[in-house]
Amino acid sequence: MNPELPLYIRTLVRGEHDLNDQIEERLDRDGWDGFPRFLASLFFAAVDRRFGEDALPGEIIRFVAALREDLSHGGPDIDPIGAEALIKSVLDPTTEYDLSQEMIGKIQLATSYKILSEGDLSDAELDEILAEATEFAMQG
Amino acid sequence: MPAGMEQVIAQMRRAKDQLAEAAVTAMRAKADFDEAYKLYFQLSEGSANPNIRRAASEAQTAAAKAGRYANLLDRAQRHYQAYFARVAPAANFGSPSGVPSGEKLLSDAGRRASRREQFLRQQVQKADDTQDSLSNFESNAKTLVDYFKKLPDPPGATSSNPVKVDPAPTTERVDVDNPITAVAMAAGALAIALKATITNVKKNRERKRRSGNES
Amino acid sequence: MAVDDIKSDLNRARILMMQGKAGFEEAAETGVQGAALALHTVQDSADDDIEKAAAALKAADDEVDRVLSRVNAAAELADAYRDAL
Repeated sequence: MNPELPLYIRTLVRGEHDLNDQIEERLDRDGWDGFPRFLASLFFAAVDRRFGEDALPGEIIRFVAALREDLSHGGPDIDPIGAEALIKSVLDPTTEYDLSQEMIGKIQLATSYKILSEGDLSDAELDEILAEATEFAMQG
Repeated sequence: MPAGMEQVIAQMRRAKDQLAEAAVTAMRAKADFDEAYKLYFQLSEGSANPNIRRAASEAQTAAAKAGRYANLLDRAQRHYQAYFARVAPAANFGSPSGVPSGEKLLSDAGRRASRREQFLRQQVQKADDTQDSLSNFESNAKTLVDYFKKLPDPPGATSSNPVKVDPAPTTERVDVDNPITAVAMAAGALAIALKATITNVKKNRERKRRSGNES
Repeated sequence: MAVDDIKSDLNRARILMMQGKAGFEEAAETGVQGAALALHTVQDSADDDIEKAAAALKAADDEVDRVLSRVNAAAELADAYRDAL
């Protein structure tokens, strides 16, 4: 896995845009190795933290609605039913969904960004989530 | 046991658990630093560049200090244990705290680990590792990231812990005749006092960091 | 040693340092809560054991920033080495 991936997410979440631009350039140059795995694991950690096992279905629906609102100013389209299912599958893995790889990636990144940037996380908490995502991606 | 003593013992048990947990976690971090040190050290043997040698030294020191941190917490625990063995031997302070909470922690963690494994396995199965698909994945991600970067800054765009300023508590001085029971504070006052202490510790660290007072 | 192998080792080391840092910060969070609780619950400074316990907790707190600054230094130096490759 390219070790700059966690830094890429960290700088994005913290609004350090110039640094993020630089890291993105290096990722383009060196390769985004491990990114899909990293993103999947990041998504798991963020969703689990935000909703927990006893989340009500209404919470997830409201979250996805807010997420689509965030993206509505020129951002990509997110399939709302798909997003709800993907988020729910973190909390209940028997949940089924049928989404393209592309859509999964968009949902995972948009959801993770929203949760991490709005979660009022301390540096330690954010690093912990990034370290967990890293751990899985490195096994790949 | 005198009144209030149970409260003191219960609080100190919780403190002991937290210190023990912190020590264990610090030792795990030390293991990571040790592994990184070995890598840096091996690299430095084949290089004239002083930076890699210095990196090895810094990593080794980080490991040593993380270990020292854990040892100091252990030392504090031992002294508290000795104190309670003297002043309240019947309380059996040294024995482990209630088992149920430990078990509950384990089962919660176990469930989460199982969910995680299932979720990630599904992702891996559905993943498409063809180069085209990966390139699409990356370019979609960059498009989305660009979109986020153009939005006005979200609430998370601060890089330091938000420090809440609480007024310092006026802690009552201990009654010298009965040091243990006099210290048992009401739960509400304790909560405020703790929050202030923790905030102050963090503020002190921030101040030291900013003034470059690091060794 | 091939440059690619060196970079691969550096990558692994950086991840380890970052993981360790996150873990240590977590330890420090828990540690400061435990220390605060202990220090507030028993304040009998006339007692030798309590004094020593308090001193150990203070010394532990002092170590936290030292660990973190060493971690940052190691990462920066390794990055400088990597850039020069």
